[in-house]
Amino acid sequence: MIFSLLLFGLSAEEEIRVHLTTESLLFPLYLGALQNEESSFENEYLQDLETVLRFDLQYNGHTHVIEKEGEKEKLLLADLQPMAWKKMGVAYVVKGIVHHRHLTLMALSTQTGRLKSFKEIPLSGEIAQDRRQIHKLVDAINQEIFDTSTFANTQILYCVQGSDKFASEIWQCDWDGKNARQVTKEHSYCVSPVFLSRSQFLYVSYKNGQPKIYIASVNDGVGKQLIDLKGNQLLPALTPSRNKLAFISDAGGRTDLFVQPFSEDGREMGKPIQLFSYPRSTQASPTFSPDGSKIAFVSDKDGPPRVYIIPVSDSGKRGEAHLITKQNKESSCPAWSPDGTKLAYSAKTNAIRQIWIYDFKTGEERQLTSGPGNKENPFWAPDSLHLVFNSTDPLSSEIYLANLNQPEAIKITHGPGKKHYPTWGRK
Amino acid sequence: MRTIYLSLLIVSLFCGITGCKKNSNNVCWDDSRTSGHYKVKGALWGSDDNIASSDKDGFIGPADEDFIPLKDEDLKAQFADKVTPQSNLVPGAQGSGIPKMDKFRAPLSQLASIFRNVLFNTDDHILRGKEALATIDSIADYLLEHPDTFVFIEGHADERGPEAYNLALGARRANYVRTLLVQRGVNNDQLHTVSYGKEKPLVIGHGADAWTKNRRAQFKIYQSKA
Repeated sequence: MIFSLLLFGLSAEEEIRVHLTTESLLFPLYLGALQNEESSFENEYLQDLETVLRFDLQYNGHTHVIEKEGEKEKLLLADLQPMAWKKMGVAYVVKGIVHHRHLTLMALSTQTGRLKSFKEIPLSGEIAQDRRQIHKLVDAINQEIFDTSTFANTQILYCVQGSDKFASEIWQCDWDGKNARQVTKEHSYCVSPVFLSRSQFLYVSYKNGQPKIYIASVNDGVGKQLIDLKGNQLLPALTPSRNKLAFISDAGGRTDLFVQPFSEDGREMGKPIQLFSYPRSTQASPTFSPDGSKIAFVSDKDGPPRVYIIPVSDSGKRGEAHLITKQNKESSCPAWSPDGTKLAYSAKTNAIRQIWIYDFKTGEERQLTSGPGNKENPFWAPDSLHLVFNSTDPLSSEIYLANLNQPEAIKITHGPGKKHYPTWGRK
Repeated sequence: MRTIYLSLLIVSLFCGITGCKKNSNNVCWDDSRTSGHYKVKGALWGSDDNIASSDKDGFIGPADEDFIPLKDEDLKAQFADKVTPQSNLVPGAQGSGIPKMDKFRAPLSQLASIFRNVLFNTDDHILRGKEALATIDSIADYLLEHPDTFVFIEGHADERGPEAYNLALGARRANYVRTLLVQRGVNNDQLHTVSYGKEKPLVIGHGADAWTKNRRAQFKIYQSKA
């Protein structure tokens, strides 16, 4: 008993590590204390604002925030001089001023000497509301300095399974796990959500018995059945242009891969198409290439479940499935990156499921994570650098955030319930 | 029972020899495209205009199928991997005569000894061993004698597999059992499936015994004349 408690205690403290392809490329960034100029905000609120900023800049995949110190804070009060900061080994400086009810940020690159002042944002004084403004501002910084896609102002959907074993509802949070709120209230089993737009999502619900695919708004979470097909429908996936929906269905008697085409304005174009089936096999977990021309999915047609790719053909003939995950005996839940260059998936590695990355340019597979907990259901952020996944051990299941440049994954969910099936929203 | 088997075998052989291209609902799969257009519903994430129709070359399915099946021959082979499409009757739908799933109950007393759980090997959807097949035979016999009994076949998995994959595996297991029952002459409309993956374990535990009991197909029944 003592031994097992000790074991759990140790494993709970052990971090989920992320393996980098090279030495860390994170540049040192100094974030000064927010300067309060004639604002009526409490210090506590300003500290909360700073915490949001710090998280966004710490985990943006490009910079790491260095510790505050007196000398640097003094330097921050004067005009930002690139050389002075460069001598201190700082690559970027971010200075924030709260004036009345507005926040202005300035970012200095000590390499180029460029100082950029970002458009001020209004502050309400409510941190829950203002944190989204901060995310927007950091997106602007990321875009301006690092020329990356915006992602910090996106949302994450995930499922929370409560104490009632067969009940799971869909929740929404910001990319840092904050502002978490329950979206569906079906008292049913809702799983595998996927964003359709910023305000709508698809998901699977058992509310009428068999699992079916529903569409709902994040505002009210009331689901309307999407596909009128008999049997079980599972694991929906959408193309970025929303013109095709892939899912798993047993309408034909096996668990097959189906595709439903949609018009630009969301009309079902004809009947669902049985895209791939195979005798004596199970298909699962489709994910589209960004252009919608291919699907990666799981099949056990040649033995244990592994990831295959097929073209989305309209010939009516079964496409040739091409095995891509050869390194591991059992692979599952693939997720295609929005830039099309990578596939994240979960593979059993020394008896624990870890996240692996398949590189389409080199055809190589590499292990991304290590550490305790079975890691499943990876999903990429719009920048193709960050991803979320759930990590499960006998005591808990939480959502983690990782990026390809950061050596550790961050737990972003807290509180009771098993959290699983995370999915990242659109820009 | 033997007569039913024999009849099925003869029909299967005939279909295999003549290349009959029909699914179990007697819907022609090949060379039977509808000339009409499939009516599409209103927009789901755009403007909600009038109902329109669309036609996509090569993708017009049989009129009474609700999806467009693959044309591959081996998927319809009579001996390789028999499958039966889902019943067209949707539980709970108006006019189906079948209630919603929440009206289905675990079989009690004598019925519990007939509708026993059947167990699967790890990552397998095929029932192996005489005991499981004897259970299927008993269930088939009962359903043949009681056409007013409807069954939900639940497919379950143990805790070890990936949760998303297990949802699909549970569906495959439930459908395998459904197909076995149809092969024994049971009306497909009496049979419906649901997959719970690994989310409804029968036995809580992290050992071989729990895993064995949890890799199962389980039955819930509804009797319209009960």
